[in-house]
This record gives sequence, structure tokens and C-alpha cells, in this order.
Amino acid sequence: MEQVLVYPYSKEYEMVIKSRKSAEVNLTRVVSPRGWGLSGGILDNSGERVEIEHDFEEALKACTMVWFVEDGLLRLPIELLLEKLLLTVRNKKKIYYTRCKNAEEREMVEKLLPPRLNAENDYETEVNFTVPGGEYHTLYEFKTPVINVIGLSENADKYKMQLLLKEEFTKLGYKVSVVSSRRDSGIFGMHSMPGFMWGGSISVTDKILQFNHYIKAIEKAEGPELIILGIPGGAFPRNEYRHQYFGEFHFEISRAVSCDCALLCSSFSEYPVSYFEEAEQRIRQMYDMEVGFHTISDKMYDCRDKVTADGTGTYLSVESGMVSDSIREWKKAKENLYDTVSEDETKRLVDDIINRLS
Amino acid sequence: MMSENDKKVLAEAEQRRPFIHLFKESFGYFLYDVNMDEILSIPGEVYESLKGKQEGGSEDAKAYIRNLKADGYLKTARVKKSIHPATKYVKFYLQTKLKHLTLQITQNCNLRCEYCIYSGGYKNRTHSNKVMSFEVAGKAIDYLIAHSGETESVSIGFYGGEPLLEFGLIKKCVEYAEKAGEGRRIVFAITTNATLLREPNISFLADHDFKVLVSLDGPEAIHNKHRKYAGGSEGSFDALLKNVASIKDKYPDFFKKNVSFNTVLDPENDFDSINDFVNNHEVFKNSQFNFSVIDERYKDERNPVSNDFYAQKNYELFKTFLGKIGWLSEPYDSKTMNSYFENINIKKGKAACSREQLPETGHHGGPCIPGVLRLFVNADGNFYPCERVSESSKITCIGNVYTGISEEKAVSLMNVERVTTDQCRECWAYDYCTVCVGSADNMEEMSAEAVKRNCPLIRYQVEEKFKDYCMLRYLGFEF
Repeated sequence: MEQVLVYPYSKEYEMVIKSRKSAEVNLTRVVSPRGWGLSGGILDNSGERVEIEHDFEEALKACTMVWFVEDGLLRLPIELLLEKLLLTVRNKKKIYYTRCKNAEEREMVEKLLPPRLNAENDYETEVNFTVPGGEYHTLYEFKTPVINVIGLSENADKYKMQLLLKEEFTKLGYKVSVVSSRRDSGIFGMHSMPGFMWGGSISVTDKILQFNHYIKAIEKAEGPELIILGIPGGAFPRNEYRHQYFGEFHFEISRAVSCDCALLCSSFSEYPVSYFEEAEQRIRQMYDMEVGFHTISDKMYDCRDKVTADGTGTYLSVESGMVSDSIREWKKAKENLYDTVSEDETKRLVDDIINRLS
Repeated sequence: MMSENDKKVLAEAEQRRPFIHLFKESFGYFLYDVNMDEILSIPGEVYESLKGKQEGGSEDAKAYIRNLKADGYLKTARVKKSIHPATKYVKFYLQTKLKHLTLQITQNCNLRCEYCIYSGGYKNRTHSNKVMSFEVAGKAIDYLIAHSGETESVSIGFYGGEPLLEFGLIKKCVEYAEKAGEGRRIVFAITTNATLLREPNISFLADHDFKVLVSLDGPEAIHNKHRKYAGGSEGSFDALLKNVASIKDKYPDFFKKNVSFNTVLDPENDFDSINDFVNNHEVFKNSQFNFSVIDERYKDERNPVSNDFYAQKNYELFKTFLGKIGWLSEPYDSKTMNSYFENINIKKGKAACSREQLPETGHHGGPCIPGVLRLFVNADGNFYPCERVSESSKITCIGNVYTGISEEKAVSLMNVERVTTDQCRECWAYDYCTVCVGSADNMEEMSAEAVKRNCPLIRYQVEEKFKDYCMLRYLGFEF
């Protein structure tokens, strides 16, 4: 099994490291740029600790592959990225390159290292993707139950929930196909959100059709008992300045694939208990999705900060204990809220999903 | 003498009054609704009715007032608990949201500016030969890096005294920060009197893309009035001009993008000559300027003021307004007034925060979260919320490079309102108040008396801002 170094590690990848035992490679070392202020260790789901290191060259010695991951809030300078790429090549290690937010950077990197860039572009698909044996302009229905994992905003731990649900259902013996909200999920045996869904190269109609066919192709090829769809972006703009992609993905995916129910992930805030019902209603009205379950992340929106370049705003991490206390209060009025810090609550969520889909 | 019960009854009656502020100008009557944080233009009759004890007046006025209430205005709600909304989350802000570090590289200066907060005229320490050790500077830089993981960009500012007296230390700090901040873009800044701003300093500052803030008070006579060399009476203008002109000549791009100026306005001076200087002097006319009046905090006496100063300033503001509403034949850009003008728009930055009512728990607008927006480190390694508080005060130190920022102290400093709770909650300028620990500090504790001394001026300034806003809107200006 490949021994993989993850670089540049940020908190965006915390749940990836926590779930590393489900990965198809051994995520064994984690390196973060010194200036990102991260240190200490991460406890994975099996209780093993992974240290956050700063010496790339040293960590490289113990690995066979480097996974160059996407930036979070902090952007890795291109010079530093190229320096680490060249170091990786000189040390004859494999490269798994999934950075694609910055098209200019990716182009530069691809020009530099094409023969050595062993990147898995599983998010790239052919143009006019049609399910084998199918008709392009047909919208297919699905026999397999589908759950959508959606968020009212970014930083709501949607990806964490996708990983968690895949792990838990797999442990129970279910065959699960996941199309995640990210573009770098291949390492967990999940499909990444396909490339045609990002950007404006094809029309909304074509995106809907092709996504429908994409999922149908997965259903035919893999024969899952459950399909989980992670939807990128936020379901609604937060305000005039924070667009969160205007619910674009939610609209397209809800039109492409009817889901049986949705898990709504929210960032932390001092919500009135009515928030959850109101959110369910809005989602139902806008996207024809029934929200059956709620989770809350340990990040809250920081309204003091200016808008970030991608219109999403910045967040403040809080203690999970604070989140758990709030969930305990809300649950008095709203049972379908789950505190997934607790194993019991995670089990309850999975059991409730099974009951709902049965 | 009022009994306790009478006071309680009166307070309750006051609290049932709509929480509004009425003001008028020659062009109309206005109501500022505190709960909705909105200004409404109202008929004169309604203004007079509302000015009385309760609603009254004609049937039209009463109907108007009823409609206002139906639309959600004229609520009586006040904040009930004075707690800064970020209090619960201070711990987390301090862990990951630090933004800007100011290092007091040295307490020494080659000038002795008379209005300097270290001049001896303020309740603060005075100039000394103390220099920050590299160990302290390094720890402060490490602290910033370790506590800014959720901040998109960070900056490090070098301050004094005159920081260029310790240029070697600045270089060492920058090299250290660039290494410790691997993977991070750090913006470096320096505040300087520019008398030592020459090679090799300049090329280093340019190479590292420093933001340079030069203290310049105006034309020669005005600048030299206060900004004199230590040990004599010679002014520093000539050296400043020579050095700045040289930068402009040899590093034109750097000068244009990175060099700006800070002008301390002495209200005894001739405003027009300062205004003319910053807008027209060959070297400075295209540069950015910040303006502030000589600080009166930590002083027992008020600064003397010349009526001409404010008359001239107001006339400049008048011309700025005419320019903005298109009543002048040529565009009019006034550096001295730009900052004021940009802050007139009371709706600015509030699209995300509209409300129907004041929250039950809240705090007036003044205080920041100490240490988060800015963390000032003095030469001894002590932490302060900014460079404008007194280092000699018992209450302003919030920690040090060895122990970090104390959450308890940060919470204490940001909850300034606790010393004037009753008054603040009844103040219509609640959201616009600028009182922070610097205004409330009597060197021993946060003082209600110190806070209240600021209130009349703050309310006056806020009302003037409201009036300017309404006048511009009335004349068709779109913000």
C-alpha cells in the first residue's frame, strides 16, 4: 500500500486524516507550512495519533507518494508548491495531485511535470457524458435510495458527514456509492463531483442531464444499496456579499436526481429552535428535498471579517463541547438533530436513516 | 430628593418611551430609530408630537405615528444585559484570529514631538533607551503565527519611538518572520518620522514590500511647530522632505503604492495651509494621507482650539459635499475630508446586519476584541490592545510574550459598558459609540467618570454625521 504524505495540511483535511483508515492508501505523514500555525497531532477514528509536521523533506523519506491537496483559507504560495513538487520528483516519489481551484497554478504545474504528474483526475469526465446504452436527453430514475448531504453554508462539515456515513454504512455491510462534494475523494473510494459541474463551459440543462447520467452509470456499474450525494456550496446566499454559489449545485443536482431524504449540515450559531423547521421548509420549497436530519459543525460564521475572494466569508472554530451543549438544548424541541461527536449519536443517525429509507 | 421607588418608576417610564432620537435641519425633520437603526424623514407636526412626552397632536400626526408603529418603528426596547456579543467566543478568537502585530522596537526617538503620548504630557511612560530584545520580538512573532490560523492575511508593524533607530533589529525580525511564516504572506509595515529613511534602509523596505507610514503634520512651519529633534529646537521637516523626495525619485513605484502619510492636526493651526499643502505640494500631492486630531485621552487638560481651524475645516467639508453632489464645475477631491466622507454612509457594511430590534444582550459599538484586530507588544514584551492605550495604566496590559493573552483581561477590557450600563442603554448613539478602554481608563480602573466625559462629544459627532447623511440624500447623492 502506498505510504502517503499529505501536503499542505490544513484544517480542511482534518476529517480526511481522522478517516484515514477508510482510505485506499496509508495516509501516514502530514506536513503543514510552518506559517499556517498548525501543530500538535490529529487523532484518527481508530485512536491513533498523526503528528502535524513542518519538515517536508524529512517526512518525505518515509513515504512513497505525496498527495498535494487543495488549500483551505490560507493559500500556499506557488514558489513553495513548486519547491516541494521538485523535491518530490528528485526523490523519485509518486505524486497524487488534486489541487484544481487555481486554474493558472494547475496549468503551470502540468507544464512543469506532465510525465510525472500521476494525478487521478477522477473528476474529469468526457463531454456530453451519457450513460452507456442510454439516450442523452432522457432523465433516468433511480431504484437505489439516495441521500443528499447538503449545507446552508460552507464550513458545515458536509464532507465529514459524507465520509462518516460511508464508513458507518460500510461497517454495517451495506454497499454504498458516494459522489462527494469535493474533487479529491478518489482516495476514499468515493467519486468526486464531476468536472462538468464546475464552471460555465456547459449549460445548466446539460449539467442536469449529464449529472443524471453520471449517477445512473454509477448505479449500473456498482449496484449500490445506497447512494450518497454531497452537494457543494451553500443552499442559499448568506447575503448580498456572500453568495456561496447561490445554491447553484443544489438546484442542478435536485433536478438531476430525486433524493429520498437530505441531511442538512449547518455551521454553528445561536439559532432559535425555529431555525431548523424554517430551514427544512425553505429547502423543501426551493429544491423539493425533504430534510430528515440535521448536524451542526464546530465552525461559526465570522461576520466581522470581510468577504473572501470566493464570496464565502471566514469562520471561527469553536469547541465541540459548546456545540454539544447547544445541540442538547435544541434537541428538546427537535429530535432529528445529531451530535456526531458522540458515537452513540452517530449510530442513532445511521439507524434513523435506515428506518426512514426502509 | 427622589426616593428609590420614584427613581425606579421614572426609569421604567423612560424605558417605555420609544427609543428614538429626533433632529432637524433647515431642509427637514428626522427621526433616528435606535431599534431599527434607521433614519426616517418625518413631517414637522409628527416631530413636534414625538418631541413631547407621549404621542399627541392632530389626527394626522397620530395616524402617522400609528403607521410607524405598525411598520415596526418606535419600539421601546432597550438592551437589557450589557455584554459584548463576542464575550462567549473570545477564547476562540484569541486562538486563531490574530491579525496584526505591532512591535515597539525601541522606546527611544531622535525627535521630541510635543504632542507625542510619550512626551511626558500624558499619563504614560516617557521616552527611554529601552530596546526590544530579539528574543522578545521572536516570541511575539511566533505568537502571531500560532494564533492566526483562521486569518487570511497577517501583518507585522514596527513602531517606536523611532523604529529606524534599530534597523538591524528590524532586519532580523523580518528574516525571522519570513522563515517562521513559511507558506504565509506577511505584510510588513513601519511608522516612521522619516528622518532616518535613507539607504540602505530604503532598499530593504522596498525589497520586502513594506507599507511605510510617515508622520508629516503639514508645511514646514506647522510640521516643525511640534516635531523637533531631541535636545534642541530644530524642526525635522527638511530631513523628512529630502528623504521622502529621494524615495519618490529612486523608487517611484514603491513610493506610489507603499508610502503614505499620517498628519496629526493641531486645532490651533491654520487648517487651510495644511489642506493646501497635502493637496498641492509637488512631492505629496498624489500620496495618501490619514488625519487625526491631537489625542486628548490620558490628558487632564483639553487641547486649545482655534475657531478659525474648525471654520476652515467645515468650509473644506462644504466644498467636498458640493463636489460630491455635482454642484462644482470641476471634480473636487479633498484628502483631508475623504475619510470623513466615506464614513458618513451609515448603511455602509450593514447589509448583512439589518435588525428589527435591539438584542436583549448587547454592547455599544466602541470596543474591539483586545489583541485580535491589533496586538501591541512593548519593548518589555507586554501585550496591549493597541499603541494608543497607556503602558503605565494598571488595567491595559492583557498579557505578555511568555504567558500569552489573558482571556479574562481581554473580556474585561472589551466590556467597557459595564461601568456605565444604565447611561449607555438609554443612549440613542449606542450603535455608534466609539468609547473603548482608552477612553475609560483612569489609570487605576475603568472609570464611569472618564467614559461620561466623552459622551457629549460623541453624541454631537454622531448627530452631525446623521445630518450630513440626510442632507446629501436630500440633495440626491447616492451612496
